[in-house]
Amino acid sequence: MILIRKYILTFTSVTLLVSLPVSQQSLAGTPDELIQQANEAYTKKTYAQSIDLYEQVLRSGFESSQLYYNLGNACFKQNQYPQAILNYERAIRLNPGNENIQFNLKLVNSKIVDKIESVPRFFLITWWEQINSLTSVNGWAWTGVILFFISLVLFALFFFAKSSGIRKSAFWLGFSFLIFFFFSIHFAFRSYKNLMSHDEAIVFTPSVTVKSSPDSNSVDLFVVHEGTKVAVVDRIGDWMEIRLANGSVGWLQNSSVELI
Amino acid sequence: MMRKLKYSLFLTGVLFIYVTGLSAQEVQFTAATKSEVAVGEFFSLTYRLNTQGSGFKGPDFKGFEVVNGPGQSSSTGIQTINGKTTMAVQYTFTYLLKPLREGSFVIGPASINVDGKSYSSNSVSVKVVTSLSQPSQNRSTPQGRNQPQSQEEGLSAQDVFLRAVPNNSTPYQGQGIIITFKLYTKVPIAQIITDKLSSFPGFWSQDLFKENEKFKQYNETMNGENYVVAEIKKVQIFPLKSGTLTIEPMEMTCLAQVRSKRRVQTGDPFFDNFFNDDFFGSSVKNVEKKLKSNALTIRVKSLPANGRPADFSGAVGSFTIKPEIDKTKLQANDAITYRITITGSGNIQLIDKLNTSFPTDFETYDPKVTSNINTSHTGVSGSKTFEYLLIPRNHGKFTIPPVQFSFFNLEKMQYLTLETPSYDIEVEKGTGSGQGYSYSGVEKEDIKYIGSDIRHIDTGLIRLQRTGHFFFGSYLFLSLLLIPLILFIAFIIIFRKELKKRSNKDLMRNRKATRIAIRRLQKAREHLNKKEDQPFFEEISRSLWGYLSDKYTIPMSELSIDNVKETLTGRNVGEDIVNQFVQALNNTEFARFAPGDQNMAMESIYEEALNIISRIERELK
Repeated sequence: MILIRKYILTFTSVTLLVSLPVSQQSLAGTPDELIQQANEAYTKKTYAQSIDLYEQVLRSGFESSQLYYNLGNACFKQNQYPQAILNYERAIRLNPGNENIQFNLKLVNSKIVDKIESVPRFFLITWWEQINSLTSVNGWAWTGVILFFISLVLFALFFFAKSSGIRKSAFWLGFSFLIFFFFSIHFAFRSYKNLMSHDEAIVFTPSVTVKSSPDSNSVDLFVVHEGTKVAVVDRIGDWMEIRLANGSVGWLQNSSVELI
Repeated sequence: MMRKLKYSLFLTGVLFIYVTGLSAQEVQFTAATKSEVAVGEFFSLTYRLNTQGSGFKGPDFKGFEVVNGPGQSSSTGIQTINGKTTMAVQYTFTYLLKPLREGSFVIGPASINVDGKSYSSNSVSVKVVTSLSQPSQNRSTPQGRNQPQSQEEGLSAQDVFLRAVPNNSTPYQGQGIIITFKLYTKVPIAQIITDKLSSFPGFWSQDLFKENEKFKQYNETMNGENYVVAEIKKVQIFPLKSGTLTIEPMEMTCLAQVRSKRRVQTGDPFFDNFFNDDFFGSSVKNVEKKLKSNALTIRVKSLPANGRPADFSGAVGSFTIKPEIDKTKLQANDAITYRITITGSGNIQLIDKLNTSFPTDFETYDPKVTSNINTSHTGVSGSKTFEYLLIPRNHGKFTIPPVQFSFFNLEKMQYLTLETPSYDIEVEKGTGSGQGYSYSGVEKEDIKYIGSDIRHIDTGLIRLQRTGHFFFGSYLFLSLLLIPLILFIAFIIIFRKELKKRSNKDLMRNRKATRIAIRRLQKAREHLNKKEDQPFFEEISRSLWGYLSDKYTIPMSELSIDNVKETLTGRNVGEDIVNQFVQALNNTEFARFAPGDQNMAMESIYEEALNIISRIERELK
């Protein structure tokens, strides 16, 4: 009798456990439905609602370049420029080559207070980064897989072919494809590291005084305003050392920025 | 004592009279006014002096407003009584006062100097009440016109009133109507002050009177009474929308000059004014009167919908159109002046643009609009000129299309469309520096960004991925790299092994080839010895073919007499060997099927086969 009761208890608890997430999901809708609703809300100019819906999707553990982009747009329409920049930056990390994201990011950056001239860099590095930004991590990863496969096929041809001409060209082609494969893996790894390191942040406090050391009593160096992108160099406790695009370095508190 | 005093008083009195009678009259300086007035009512206070004086000093009018005064007048009267002529002079000083609040007031004495002596008048007391039973200010209601004549100093509604007279109260939208504000009066009017002009909501109005223009005056009989009518204001208004529109009344204040009742009235106020002038000893009182015209209701009809041209822009009236162009043949970059003048009467000022279109190659500017509007008592007329400046930038033949102008004609009650002719413009190539410009065409312009906005959201299918999960570094990624690699390596290994195996087999076959060939040749030798020709040839043939197949790892099935030459040449076998080999094969086949005794041939074929095999063996070593 007790056994049966126990059985029933476990059974009900199991069904509860199973049914709970299901009911929650049906209440909120699938992420795709949420995005649909959010897009509709955006089109109807109810931006606050669309922000809420997009964030709901993000909270459910999904992300996408387009999702961040749309959220950034909605934030922009609500004049929440730092949030818009943050989301555009997140979007562009996932899809570096997207022209729309670049355009909107540029536009919203023209609306913020700080205008920072970036330090000119060696052109080869710029080129390298431009090539890197041609596609996303996954794009590079897939490119790598395909290139690797092609090079293997070519090497196989090198082993099988009887004609020495075919063998020669198959070998060199396979070799160069292998080199391209290493490049794409390199780019994928770079992007991946960049995505995972969270070493950039957007200032969210309207005005922040950047200090010379991680101490609120230290010398004030300069003031940054909301929406400015900073690179995180170091972290000590509540403080992080940041570097601006123009090369200025200083310390500010973690709470005043949001990591990308 | 008492009696004595009485007597002396009497005596002096007699004496005094005597003296005055001889020398001069006694100075009399008196003040007179109404004893009871209403608040806001005008009344006059008169000081009379029976001789000439100077330095009149008025009292302090506390509680009253001095509307007018002191106004000075004098009258001289000559009287003859019983043959004795006396001259009476009277000077009057008149104030027009307005009580400000109710109560009893005492107006203090005024003073004047006569022959160096100062005289003071009496004080007067005035009782100010809230209102009198007979109001002096009348409302200018038309109904009140037949009421009996009011008090002496009051003015009745039918004495002075203001009317607004429209010449048409049901116009079409855009049709001008004239509203005349007429002042009807029976009494002379000293001054007119406009308090509030009529407002014309929903209308566009044009004053037809010029500045400082004299009022037009004429006599008019209304309800059996003669009036002098002055046209105070004349406005032409153009309804801008259809429906019932109201024109607010105009409010004015006039100061009417009212005389006392005893004066003889000729019926003509202006004539009266002349005779009852102050010079003739009459005292004229200025009475302020508020006038209010009647409100007007205008029912505006909308213009008929049928037959309305598409380019109709609301012009109503009668118009003519006159185009002018200064040249039709010119060089590129020269300017054409194209003028369109619209003349007529109606709401011409409301025409603000014409539907023009010019060749796109022409640089055009906004037209210079000049209007020449005449306002007369009959309405607004005039002309409006649109001057366009056109600059052709390229040579060629162009056509300026006709310009159409539509309006609603009130006489014909229909829409009319006027059209200018089209002009053919011949533009020649410009000379000098202008030519380069004409070839370069219209100046290039950067795109003008009117506003900046972000691009729209991505509404396409969104491929969601788990946050922080990437294909790169995933098991799928690794396996997609490793599985082909493993397969490749495995494949290579297997292939290598197979290759080794196969090469071993070939080697064995190669090694065995000679042995087999020799064995077959030995067998053939036995057949030769036994003179068995058919088995002999068979063995020779097999030994040759088999040797070839084993030696060069060519499957037997692929070999034939036709391709053996190519096969061997392709495998780096010397040409004479190939030829010898083919020779041997041919000889064998020939001898085999040749008729007659085969013993001799068999011997030589055996020798040949043995030779070629041993030769190839030697070559390969």
